[in-house]
Formats: sequence, C-alpha cells, structure tokens
Amino acid sequence: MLLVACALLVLASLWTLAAEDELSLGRKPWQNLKKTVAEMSEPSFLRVWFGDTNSQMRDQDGKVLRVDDQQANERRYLAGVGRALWTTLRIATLGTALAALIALPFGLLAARTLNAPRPLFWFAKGVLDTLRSIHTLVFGLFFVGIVGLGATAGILAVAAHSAGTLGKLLAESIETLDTHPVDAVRATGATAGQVFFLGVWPAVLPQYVSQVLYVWEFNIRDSTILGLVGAGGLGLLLSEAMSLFQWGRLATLLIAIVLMVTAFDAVSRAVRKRLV
Amino acid sequence: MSAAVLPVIEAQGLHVHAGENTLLRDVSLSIAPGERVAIVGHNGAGKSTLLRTISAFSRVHGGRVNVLGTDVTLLGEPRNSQKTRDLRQLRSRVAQVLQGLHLVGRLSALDNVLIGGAARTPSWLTWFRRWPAREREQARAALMRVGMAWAAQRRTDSLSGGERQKVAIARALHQNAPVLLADEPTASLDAEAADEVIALLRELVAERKATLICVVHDLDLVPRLAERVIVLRRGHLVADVKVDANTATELRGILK
Repeated sequence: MLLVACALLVLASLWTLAAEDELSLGRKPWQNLKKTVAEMSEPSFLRVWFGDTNSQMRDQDGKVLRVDDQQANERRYLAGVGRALWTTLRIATLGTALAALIALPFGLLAARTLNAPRPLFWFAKGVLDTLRSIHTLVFGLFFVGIVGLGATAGILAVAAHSAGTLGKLLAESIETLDTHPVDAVRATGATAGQVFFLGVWPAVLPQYVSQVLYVWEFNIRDSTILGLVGAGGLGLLLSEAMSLFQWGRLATLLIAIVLMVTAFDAVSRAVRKRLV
Repeated sequence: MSAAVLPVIEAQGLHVHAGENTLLRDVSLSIAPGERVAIVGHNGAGKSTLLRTISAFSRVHGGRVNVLGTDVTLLGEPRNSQKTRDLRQLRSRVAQVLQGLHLVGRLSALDNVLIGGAARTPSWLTWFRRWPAREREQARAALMRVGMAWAAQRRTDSLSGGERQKVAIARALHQNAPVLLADEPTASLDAEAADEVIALLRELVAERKATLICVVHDLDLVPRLAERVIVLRRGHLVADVKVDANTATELRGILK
C-alpha cells in the first residue's frame, strides 16, 4: 500500500516535470561533461610544483602584456584556501557550540516525559520545529541582512538551524530514556530538580554530547557553502571559482573540502565511540 | 499485635485500572508495623501495581489507601505545591528495591546510594552531586554494611546484577525509611547472589524494625522473606495467610 503510494508519487513527479519540459539535459550534455571533467581533472594546486614560473600573457601582436609566476600565484591561492578552511571550521564550531546552548532549555521543555507546563511545551516545540525547517543557507541570507557580510552571520545561521535539530534530538533522547532509574530516584522523595540532575541528566549527557559532535560534523560540511551567500568561509572561494569558470581551482577547493570533512568525521566518530 | 498499633498500610476496596484493563479489583488489606509480607501471583495479577499504588506511582480509581497515615488516594494527581511536598514526604518514608536495572548506570555506586538521602537534603547543591559530609559518611557506611565499600567509586553499570542489587539495598538503607517495598529483588540473580540479597533484606528490616512488603516470584523464597503472604489473581486478593512450613506447597495449590 505504502509502496504503491511511493511509486505513484515518483511517477507523478516524473510525468508532471516532463510535461513542463523541465527534464531536459541541456543542449550538449556530453560535451559539457567531458570538458568540465577534463578541466577539473587538473586541480590548480598541482601548479605549485608544475606551474610555469615565467608564464607570459601576450596580445595578438606577440607583445608581452604580463608575466606571471604560476607557482607563486598558486601558493598564495592555497594560503587563501587554508585561511578560508580555518574560517569555515571556526564558523561550524562556534555555531554548533551556540546551538548546543540554545537547544538545552528548548529541548528540555519539549520533552514530553518531563511534563513541562502545556503552553511552554508547545512554545518550545514550535520554536524547535521552525528552526529546524529553515535551511542554514536561508538563515545565512537572513543574518547577512542583519549583521552584514562575514563570519558572524555564518555562526548565527549555523546556530539557528542546528539548535532546532539538537533540541529535537535532546527531547527525543530524554523521551526514550529508560524510566526505571528515573522513577527509582523519584521514589526516594527527591525534588524535581534532584530527579532531573541525578536521574535524567547523567543518562542523557553522553548521548547529547555525541549528538552535538554529530551535528558539528554535519555543520562543517554545511558551512562550506555558507560563503555562497556571503556568510564567510570557503563558500566565497567556491562561488568565485564557479563564476569565473576556473574549474581547476574548483577542483582544488573540492579536494580541500573532502579532506577536511573526512578528517573531522573520523575525529568526531572516534570521540563519539568512546562516549557511548 | 495490639489493636492500639496503627496499621502502616491500609487499603479498602482498592480499584486500579489502566485503560480497559482492570489491574486491581476491590483489594482490602491491612499491614501492621514490622510485618514482613510477601505478595505472590501470576504475571499480570496486579502485584507490581499494588506496590506502585503504595508508593503513589499509580493512580487510584476507587477505594482508599492509607500509607503511614497519609491518604495516598488524595495525592494521585499532585497539582499544587502542598500536595507535591506531601507526596515527596511520603515517598521518602517508603524505600524501594526493585527488580534489575534501576540504578543510574553512569553514576558511581556511592552517588547512587547518596540519592537515597535526597529528600532530607533538598538543596540544589545536590544537583551537582555535592552532598553534606554527614550524608557522605552515612552513605559510605551503608555501602560498607552491604559489603560493597570497595565499589564506592565504580560506575554501577560496570557492576554485576547481584552487586547492583546490593547497592540498591544500600540506597534503601541510606534512605532509612520505615517501610521497604521490594519488587522481585532476586529476579535474574544466581542462587548465591539471591541468598546474599535475601539475607541483607532480612537483616535490614530486623535492624530498623521496618515493614517489608515484597513481591516474590519464586515460591520457595516466601518462607525465607515473609511471615505473611498475600495471593493476587487477576487483580483480586484471593488469599491472605500466615507463612508456615507448608506454605510453599499450599501456594502452588492455590496458584496451580
């Protein structure tokens, strides 16, 4: 039944898009693909070693307009990439840290099992759902409008969206907690505060830290494109390389992103494994 | 038992249901201070529900239960601060040793025992596990008493089932309550650990002159834990007898 519904949805999407003529692959997809792949298969960072140190740009008459040291140029570019990576990393980290703090009170209020007063519960749930349903990039645009271009907008954008995710995860891990130890604490006549801090919190904390790390991992990926809307970091270089059709540089950037993301995935996974 | 002694627990026409299911029907009983009572019955007979009612964890839908002079029925749904306070006060006087995993796994054995004194020390400092020195001393003594002093700093999820149960008894000891509820305290323990746990429970109850109400699954344990036994079947109280040498056999007859 569900399967049929899914199949129907897929077919309907295909059919309507085809009817609207939105499924075309452009005029010369193969040539374009080949050209792009060819240019990207020569990442620009290779020029640090193999670049022409005396690259001359001439006009039609053969007059030398400009002489470039490609190796030095590329080294400068790579230093820029390094700085942008560092910025991206800082945006993701600070954004996640801020999100972890914001998510705490909302996550607690939105946990059904903690029995927060109804209005507060719905308020917290509403806030978390709203934050979560708006993409980081959209928050990026929003905050660039408020605090201007730069890393601050990026941090706020990451924090806003991740707070929604983390709050929801926190509420859920509290809800799925084994209730027996918590009831046992309650059974000693402990106050609500004692029940929470002695029964709930010790059990939830490692899960929460692990979730924060996971979201941090995620945000490092997400922040690489935040620069597209001017919120600082690597995305700025990405959009520059793409608009100038510098596919070699784009390749360099993508490789840098893959390396960074893989490295931090590994770090965060190792830490998370120890926690649980 | 003189008539002047007020019962510790008194239930009259107790009804508890969860949705369509009736868990307890018309249960009436009276337990005097210092009595050791076993509750037996098949799964779903209402044994645990009866314990939950006594510790005010279960809503009462009919009848009355009085525990240590407090009407539990009135505390069913605590809505104001006075009721909440009364409820905590009552719970602090009814210690529980439940089956299996009910210690906070990531806290040390000592921290788990200290929780027993939560109601005496409601200060927010305890939220961060800062307890008065007197409480610490007492908790250590309780751990020592059950032979678990060596594990004070061990996380309880690294302890065996029997060791955990001893820590749970130390918590009850530290709570120092006149009533002790135990829900299959020896479930999933091997014979040796079960023996230790039973011996400790009996000593604890004898020392403090506490009242013990214990749900028991293994009928052979009844004579070792209790002097009186209550049989529940599908929510009804079907027998309430003194324990003697033949009780285990008789119970088998009743429960089939």
